[in-house]
Amino acid sequence: MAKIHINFIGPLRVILGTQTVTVNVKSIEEARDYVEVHYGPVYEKKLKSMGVNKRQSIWDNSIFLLNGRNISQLDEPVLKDGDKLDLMLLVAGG
Amino acid sequence: MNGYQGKLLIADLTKSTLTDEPLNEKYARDFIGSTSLAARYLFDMVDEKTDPLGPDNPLILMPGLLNGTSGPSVSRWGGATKSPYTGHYGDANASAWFGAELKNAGYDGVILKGKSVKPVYLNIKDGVAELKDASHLWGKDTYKTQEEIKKESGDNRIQVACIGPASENLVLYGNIISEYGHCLGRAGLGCVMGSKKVKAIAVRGKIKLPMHDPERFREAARQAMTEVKEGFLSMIMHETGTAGWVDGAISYGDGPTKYYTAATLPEATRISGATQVEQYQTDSTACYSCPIRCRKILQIKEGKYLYDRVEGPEYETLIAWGAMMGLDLDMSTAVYFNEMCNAYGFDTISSGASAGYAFYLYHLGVITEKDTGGLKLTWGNIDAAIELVHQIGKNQGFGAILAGGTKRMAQKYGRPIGEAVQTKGLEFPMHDPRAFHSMGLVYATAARGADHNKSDGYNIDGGTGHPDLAFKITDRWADDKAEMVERSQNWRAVCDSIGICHWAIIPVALITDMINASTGWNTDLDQLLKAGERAFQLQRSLSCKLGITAKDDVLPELAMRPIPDGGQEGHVPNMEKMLPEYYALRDWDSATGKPSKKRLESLGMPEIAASIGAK
Repeated sequence: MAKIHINFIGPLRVILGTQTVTVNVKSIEEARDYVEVHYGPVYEKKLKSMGVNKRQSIWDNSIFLLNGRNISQLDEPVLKDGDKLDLMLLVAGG
Repeated sequence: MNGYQGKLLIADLTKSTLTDEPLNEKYARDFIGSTSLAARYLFDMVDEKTDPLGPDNPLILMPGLLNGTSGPSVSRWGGATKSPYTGHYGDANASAWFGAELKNAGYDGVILKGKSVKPVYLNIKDGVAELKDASHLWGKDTYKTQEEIKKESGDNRIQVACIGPASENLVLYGNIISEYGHCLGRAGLGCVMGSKKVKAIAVRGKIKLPMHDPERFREAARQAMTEVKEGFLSMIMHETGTAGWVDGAISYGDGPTKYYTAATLPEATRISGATQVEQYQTDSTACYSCPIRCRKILQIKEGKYLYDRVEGPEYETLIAWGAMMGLDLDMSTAVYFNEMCNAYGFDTISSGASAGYAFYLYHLGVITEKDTGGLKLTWGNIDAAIELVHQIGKNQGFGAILAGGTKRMAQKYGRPIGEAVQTKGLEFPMHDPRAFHSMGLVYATAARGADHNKSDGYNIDGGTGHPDLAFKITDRWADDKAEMVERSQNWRAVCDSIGICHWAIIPVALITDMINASTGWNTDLDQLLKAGERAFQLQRSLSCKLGITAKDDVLPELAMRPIPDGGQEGHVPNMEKMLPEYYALRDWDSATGKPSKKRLESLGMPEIAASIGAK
C-alpha cells in the first residue's frame, strides 16, 4: 500500500473542482478505481451540463505522468509513498 | 457555380482600379478554398525574382468553402503571398467572422496587386467595392482602426481585417488582425499589405450563396452541429480554450523555456486556461457559426494592467511572451503582452522567439547593454520584455533587429545558424519536438516553415485526432511518425480549404454531405484526402519554385539538444530515420526536395511539375 498524490491538471481541475487528492492504493489500477468511483459522478454531471451526452470515463480520456514520467514507458510501476500521479484530459493547444 | 459566389475581387492599387474576375472553376474544384486555393493562384503570379515588398507580389485572401453557411465552426479563412519574412511561400489562417462576411459580401476572394501611393482601405458591401482614403487611419493600432471604420460605416456588424503600426513600419512579421486579435498571424502577410499602403479591408453583405441542395445541406449541418455541441474535445476547448494546454505543456515539457534550454516553466500555470476560468473569466465568445465558444472573456481587477472586458490570450502567446524568456507572469501582464502585440499587429510567435533569442545571446554575453540600448535582458526581466514589444512594433532601436527574426539575428551577430530555432526562416511554434517527436517532422516539412497548424501531431499523439481518419498513434517519443504526419497534413489542408475549425470533430460522412449538398460534387474521404495532398504538394512545389531545397528541411541544432529535466526526459527526435521515411511517402527528391513528376501528375498537376522541373 502506498500513499500517493493524484493531481488533476488543467481542465480536469476545473471540471472536478479539485486540484489534488491523497490516497492509499496498492497499484495504478486501484488509483483508477478510486478516481472513477469518487469523481466519476461529478465528471459525468459536468459533462451533461455542457451538452456532452455520451458517457465518458475520466481515466480513458486522460493522459498520465507518474512522478513526471510517461506512464506508458514504465513497466508495471510499483507505487511508493509520496508518488505523484498527474492526470490530464486529452486537450488541444493552439 | 454552387457553393461559391463565382468571382474574385482584383484590386490594382497602382491603377486604383477594382475589377471582378470569374473564379477559376478548375482551381476551385481541385483546391477548394482558403489557403489551398490562394496558393494555386499565387503559383502563377510569383517567382524567385519577385520582390515580396514590391508591387508584383500579390496578397491573396480567401474564405474557406463553407464560410458563410450554417455548418458548425466553419469560420476559418486564409491568405497567401510571397513572404517578406522568409523569402519564399507564406500563408496564414484565421478564424472569427471575416471570412464568412467576405463570402456574404459576394466574393470568393480578394487579390491585392500593385501599390497605392497613399493609404487606402478597401470597402466591400453586397458586391460593390470601393477604395477609400485611409490617411486618417494610418498610424492607428488595430483596435482603433476597426472601431473607426465601424463608426464611419454606421454598421457595427461590418467585419474588418486590418494592419497595425507594425506592418505600416514594415516589420517583416507584421500580421493582419480581424475582430480584435484574430489574425493571419505568420509569415508577414500584414507586412505585404503595409507595403501596398492598404490599411484595412472592410466587408459586409447579405448576398445569398448559391447551393446545389439547400435542404440536404441544412439537414447535414444540423446533424453536424449536434455532433460538435456534444463532442468531448468541444467541451474541453469550451472549458479552458487553447490556454488549457499550458498545464499540459508544463507536464510534457512542450513549452519552450529560456529559449529552448530549460524545462518548461512550472510558474506558467498561473496564466493557464484553468486559472483563467477559475479566477478571471466572466464570459465566453465564439467565431462564426461555432457552438464551442472557446474564446474566453476575462476581467482583470488586480495587477498593473486592468481590464474590464478583454479576450484571453491563446496558448502560443502565453508561452512565446512568457516562458520563452523565463518570465513568471501574472494574468494582468500576460494579457498586456497579448493586447500590445495585437494592437501593433505582429506575429507573437516569431516576435517572442526573437526576443527569447536576444535574451539567450545576452545570457551568453554575445550582446550587452551596449547592443540592447541599455536593456538588461536577464531571464525573467518582464520590464525589458515589455520594452521590446514596443520597439518591435515601432521597428525602432534594438527592437528593429528583433523585427527581422532569429535567422537574421544569427547572421548579424556571427552566430551558428543552428541557434536560430526556425525552419525555412519561420520560428518554431510553442510545441517542442523534444516533447513530441512528430512535431520535428511537421516543422521540417511544412511549406511555409515551422508550422504547427499544418498538422497538430502532438494532439494526435495525445489522442485528440479525428477518429474517422484512423491515424496511427504511437508513443510521443517513438520515431515512426512519417505516416501519421503525412496523413494529418493532408487532412489539415482539407480542413483549412473547407474552413472548418480544428477543434470541431465532425464525422467525415457529414462533412462530405455538407460539401456535396453545397457544391453538387460527389466527393468522399479518399477524394478529400487527395485534394489535401494536392494542396500540400502544390504549396511545397511553390516553396521549391521560390528557392527552397532539401537542405532546408532540417531542424536547428539548439532545439535538438536534450533536456534531461522536466517532461522531455532527455529525448530528441530521430530525424535521420523519420525524414527519409517521410520523403519516400511524399515522393520528394532527396537533393532538390521537389515532389516527383509522377506524384504531381497523379494529383492532376502536370503543369506544376513542368514549371518546377520535377523529375
